[in-house]
Amino acid sequence: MTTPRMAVEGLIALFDMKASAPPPESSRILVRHLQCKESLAAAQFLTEAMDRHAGDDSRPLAVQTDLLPPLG
Amino acid sequence: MQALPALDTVPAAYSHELRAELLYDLCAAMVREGLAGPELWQKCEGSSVVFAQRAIVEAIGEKRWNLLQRNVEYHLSVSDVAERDGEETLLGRGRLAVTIECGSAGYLKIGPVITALEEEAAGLGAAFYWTLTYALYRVMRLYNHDDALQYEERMKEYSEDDEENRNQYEFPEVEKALPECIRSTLTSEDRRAFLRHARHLLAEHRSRRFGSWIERLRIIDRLSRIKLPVDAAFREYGGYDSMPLPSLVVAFKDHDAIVACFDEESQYMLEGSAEPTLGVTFSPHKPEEVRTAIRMISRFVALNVALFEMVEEIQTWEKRHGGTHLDRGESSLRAA
Repeated sequence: MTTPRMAVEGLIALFDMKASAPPPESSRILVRHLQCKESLAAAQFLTEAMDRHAGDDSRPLAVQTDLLPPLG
Repeated sequence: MQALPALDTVPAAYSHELRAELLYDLCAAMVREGLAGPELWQKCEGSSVVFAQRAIVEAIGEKRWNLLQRNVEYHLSVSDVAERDGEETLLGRGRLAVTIECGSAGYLKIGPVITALEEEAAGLGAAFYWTLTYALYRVMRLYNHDDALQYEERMKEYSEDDEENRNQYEFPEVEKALPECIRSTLTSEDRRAFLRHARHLLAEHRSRRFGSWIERLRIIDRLSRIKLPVDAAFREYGGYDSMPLPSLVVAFKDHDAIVACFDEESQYMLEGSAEPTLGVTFSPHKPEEVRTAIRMISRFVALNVALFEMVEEIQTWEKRHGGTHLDRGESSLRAA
């Protein structure tokens, strides 16, 4: 069975459209995060704090909420 | 006690597609070249990665895919990075690289075939062996008598430099493991004339008893001679530690000196980075480059399919004949 030409053209157009579309919002957020030194530092502090919290003493965290800006 | 801030409104996972447009360009190029179409896209539930993967697998074909999987371990990848001076480097300018790397070599025990062909006609076994060897040299890396001889030579050199332990070296004695017709044709003054004679001899026997093997060899030889542009960038700029890993080990008997040498050498083959068996870069926006890449991969797949079909045919033949001794009374061979 031969595929209708228009369907093929339509699929090519779909891929062309996807290729020229801006990246999704989630990708842009991640790029902003990875390019922001403060954001990376905050992520690192958070990770370290979580590691400490998960340690033997299970100390409560003393991290201010304003140091944990949401990524969104 | 201070509680952790609520995290339920914060996204917990992100997926990020870097240079995703290249994937869509690749998909569009494959559709333009007829490798895939709307029917396949409908089965992929909107996933371009799945579409690209299935397009490649379907272009190879299930039967051929299974044949290759049974016999050899190839890894095909399409990527926007390639090795440059030993490091993975972004190709840039919208370019992609297709690479095929060999993770585990196929195996051909050719001794019984040579014996059978030499019994059929003097020189026919050697003609078959050398024609196959030169055909495969054009497209893939082999491990055969030549590599084993070089390994033996290196071992001898090491032993000469190692006065204290000289007696502890063991040499594989490769030349003794070669069939007489191969040993006597290792060197010849006029190699071209020898190969011309080999071609005539094989052509004479194409419609005779072992015509099926000779026909398969003819296909392999023809495919290997297709002139295709070589992407030298991989070799010149890749900074690889070694040439491609062998796609095929050609021995004369199980556990012979060639297999022993390969077992020794293969222990170190994965230590460094090896050049891919096949590598080509292209721009999905340039149809001519896309077609060249498709031709190179198609030729590689077709040749490997022909090779491993022959390998399996030989294995089946050998099982029926129980080892290296050829039973001339076998009726199925007479009919072949």
